[in-house]
Amino acid sequence: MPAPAPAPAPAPVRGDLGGLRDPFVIPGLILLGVLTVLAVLLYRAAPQTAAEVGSTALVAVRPDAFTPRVSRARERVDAAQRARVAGDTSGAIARYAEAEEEALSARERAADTTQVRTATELWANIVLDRAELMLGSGARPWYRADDTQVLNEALASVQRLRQVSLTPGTRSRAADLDTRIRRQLRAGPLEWLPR
Amino acid sequence: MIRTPAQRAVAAALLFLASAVLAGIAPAEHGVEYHVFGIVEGLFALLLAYLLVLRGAWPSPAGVPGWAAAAYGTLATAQVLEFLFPPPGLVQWVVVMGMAITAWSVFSAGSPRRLVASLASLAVILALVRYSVIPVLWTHIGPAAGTAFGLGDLAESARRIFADWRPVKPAGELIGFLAVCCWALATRLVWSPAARVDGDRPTAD
Repeated sequence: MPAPAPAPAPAPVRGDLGGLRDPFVIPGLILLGVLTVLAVLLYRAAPQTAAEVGSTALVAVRPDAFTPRVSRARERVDAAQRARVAGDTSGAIARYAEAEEEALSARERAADTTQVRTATELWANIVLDRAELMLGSGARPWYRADDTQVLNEALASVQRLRQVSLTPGTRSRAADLDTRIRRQLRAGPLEWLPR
Repeated sequence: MIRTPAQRAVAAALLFLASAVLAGIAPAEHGVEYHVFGIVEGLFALLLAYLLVLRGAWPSPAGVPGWAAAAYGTLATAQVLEFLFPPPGLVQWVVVMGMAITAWSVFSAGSPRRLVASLASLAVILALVRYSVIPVLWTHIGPAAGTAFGLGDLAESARRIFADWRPVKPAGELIGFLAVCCWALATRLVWSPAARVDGDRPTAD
């Protein structure tokens, strides 16, 4: 009786791209993909506190929603105010710019006139807060040249508010700020004189 | 639990991702900054990844898990270099040019162990320059900005030419240290001590 032939060596598994059939590898790669997306979202949103991470995630999950964007804009305003209190003017201006963007985005996604009014008012006040800060940072004593680039940028921001309908209080605040910036842009001691 | 090369590669990719994320987070004086590597760090990371694979410290990429580990490893290296390199300015130009000119001769010779030891020494020197030398010189060279009747502004301009440094909180250094630890752990996971390359010589014992 002939001896049984030795069992053939197992053929290499075709289609196994370097261990994809290994247990834990596919779940591990899926986890890697999910964590990569979360990392990109984290870096894109750049939250400043742990509390902001939640609202950032909400905006990421529901990018078209009105309420999360308004909440995020208000959080950015809080961050700007904290920076302002701490004396970090450039940081505060940057935070206000982010808040402005979020408020504008909320306004574009508003579903009814009430939401449009809320978002517009929020956006206008953020624009004015930012312009006020820019006026403070661009203005110099009369014997030194003002930073006209910053002042012109602040003026352009305020003038953008003319295109939207605002409450009387906000409109009057915008007009007052417009006058102050224009006066500051005048040369030397002329800035003291009324127009 | 982690037994096969594919599992090790996936675990290393996850650790490299953690390293990349952590290395870019820098708590500054007011808020948190998120740094992403630039072209200098990216190109240097590519060179280092090539050398690490060439010398056998990282396995040659094979299959999806192997390529994932290599790609995330390169990303993490770039982010760690962003954390370690001096800020833009004269100091960075001198350090990076010196490293680029000597990189091939320093890193391409010897065994994987020597290569990793060289990288560790380099990391110590870079950390010393960025987190010890520059801050100390910054605070002691000339008056602060906005003081001394305009002289402070001149001194500030000069300092910015040498290094455009911004202070970070001590927590920033701790987070960076954790990022480097993740990078080292991931490299240890994919490390194959059996691999021998041209520079390796068997020891007498």
